[in-house]
Amino acid sequence: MTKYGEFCKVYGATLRNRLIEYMLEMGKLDFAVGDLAQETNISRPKAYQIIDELLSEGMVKKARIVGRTQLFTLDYSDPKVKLLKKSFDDCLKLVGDTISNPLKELSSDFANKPMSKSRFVKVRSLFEHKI
Amino acid sequence: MHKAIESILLFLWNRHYIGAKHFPEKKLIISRTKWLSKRELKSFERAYKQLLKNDYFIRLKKRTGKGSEYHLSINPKKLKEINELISND
Repeated sequence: MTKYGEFCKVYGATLRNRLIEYMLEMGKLDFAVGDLAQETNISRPKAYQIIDELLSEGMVKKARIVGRTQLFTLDYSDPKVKLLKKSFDDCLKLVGDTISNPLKELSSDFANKPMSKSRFVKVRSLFEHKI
Repeated sequence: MHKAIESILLFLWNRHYIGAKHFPEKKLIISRTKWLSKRELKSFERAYKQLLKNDYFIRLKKRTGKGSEYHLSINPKKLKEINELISND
């Protein structure tokens, strides 16, 4: 499994960013801190610590209680979360662009790096496909 | 659109599970539907089956160490439609 997605690639894969990315991926679904920690490969105490920080900042709010488990969701009315959602959507757009136009991603590398053998094979296969 | 479906699509899209790259279906669905009620689960199942029928996902059986399981990825031909689905919500 990929450790983190496009959002963390752009903004840095810090623990906080990884948690925020997971929450943004969940959308309007509520989640438990245990699941959050497990899926992002972060220890439970650290996850609880970050969630407490986000709660105090007003970015996360408490949702339902199922059994003895407290569930949380992102508070989409918060201006900071709105900003994060916007940048997350931009990251998704970036992914869509690279998938629909793979040559675009490669073209930026031409100027910076000498091409490795594997990259050369990849580029050649793309051009062969085009021809 | 169902919120669990939206979450699955966002996960697959953000982590580049589009086309050739895929992710275990069972693991993904269990993680997104763990806290849903029975009624919500049923509506999720209906919506998920509809998406599969409309070819929004590529679903393939993969051989793994213990046996075989189904894996999911987004159909790259349906990126536009999926983008509209996500952005509408």
